[in-house]
Amino acid sequence: MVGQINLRPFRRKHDGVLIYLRLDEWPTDVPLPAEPAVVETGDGPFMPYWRLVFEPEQTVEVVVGWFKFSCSLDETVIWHQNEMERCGWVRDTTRGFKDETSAGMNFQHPQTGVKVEMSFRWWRHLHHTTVMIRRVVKHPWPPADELGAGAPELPLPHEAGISE
Amino acid sequence: MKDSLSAGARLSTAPLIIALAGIVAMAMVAYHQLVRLDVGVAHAPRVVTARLAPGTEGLLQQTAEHLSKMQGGDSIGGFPGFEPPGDDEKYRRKIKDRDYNPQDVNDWVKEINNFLRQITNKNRGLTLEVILQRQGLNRGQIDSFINTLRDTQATAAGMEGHGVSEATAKTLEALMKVLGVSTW
Repeated sequence: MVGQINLRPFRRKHDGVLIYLRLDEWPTDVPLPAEPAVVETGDGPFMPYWRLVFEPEQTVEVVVGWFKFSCSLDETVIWHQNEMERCGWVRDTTRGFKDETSAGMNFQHPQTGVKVEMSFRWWRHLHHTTVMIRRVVKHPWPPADELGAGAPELPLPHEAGISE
Repeated sequence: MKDSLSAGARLSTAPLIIALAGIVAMAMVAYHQLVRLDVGVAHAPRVVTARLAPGTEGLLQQTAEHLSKMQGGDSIGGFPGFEPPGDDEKYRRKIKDRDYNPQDVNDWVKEINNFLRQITNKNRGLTLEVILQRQGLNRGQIDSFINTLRDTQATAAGMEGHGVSEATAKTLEALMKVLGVSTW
């Protein structure tokens, strides 16, 4: 049993951990308006989260946020598209959709390879638009820089003259 | 005399040669037409007539209906959206005003898992994208359906432990992988 301490709480999952984020911890490379409002369901606010998934060949890092905007679907889509492109993201035009009440857009950053997927929906009874944002980074395991020939192999304790 | 005979013979064989040449030419044309026809048949694009297993359309429709519950009752992928009963104001608010809680999400995702499991069992080896293509959805409708499924998975993951059970969230992710839908 681990007692309550000052470390950040996390939720264990079958394949990793999940950590809820404060709004000021949202990834700075994915633009949000000055005062973003998180979506609320009947249970309260849906706080952004950071999920780390440990797979044998990679570690997947997913940040999910769900935000609402008091403007139309078109205005919200255009704002995000413009801001993402201003930050250097490139839209994948082979994917995505747009209809009367919803839209989807995919982006990738040419420098970092990070991917972002956005789902928009107009809530006609609530008169606002929501956007669910998923930012995904895949880190190969083991890390590429540890596989290089330049990294010296550490000696085993008995080779280094250390008695076990 | 000899010359006149040979000239006469040449005159009499000339029509024969022309006729023979004509027959050969017609035969060649006919042969080429046959070859072209044969080649054409051999390389004609196949019309894909692959069908989905019986009952798949209904299961896709039910999946879309349950996905719709978390999206204000909107149509998903061109399938009809979910319409709450008119006399049940609480349920109407739950759907139209996004007033649901994690327990509702757990119940709806369990139903989605049930439909997806049947779809995978009936259409073994097919990805969800191929299934939706064969169902006749266009590119935008397929993206809409798959995006909404991914939104639902991300919502369930965020509510896991707060009303959404680990088993429910884990099963959805496993079924999505079987159907070739990346969870990230």
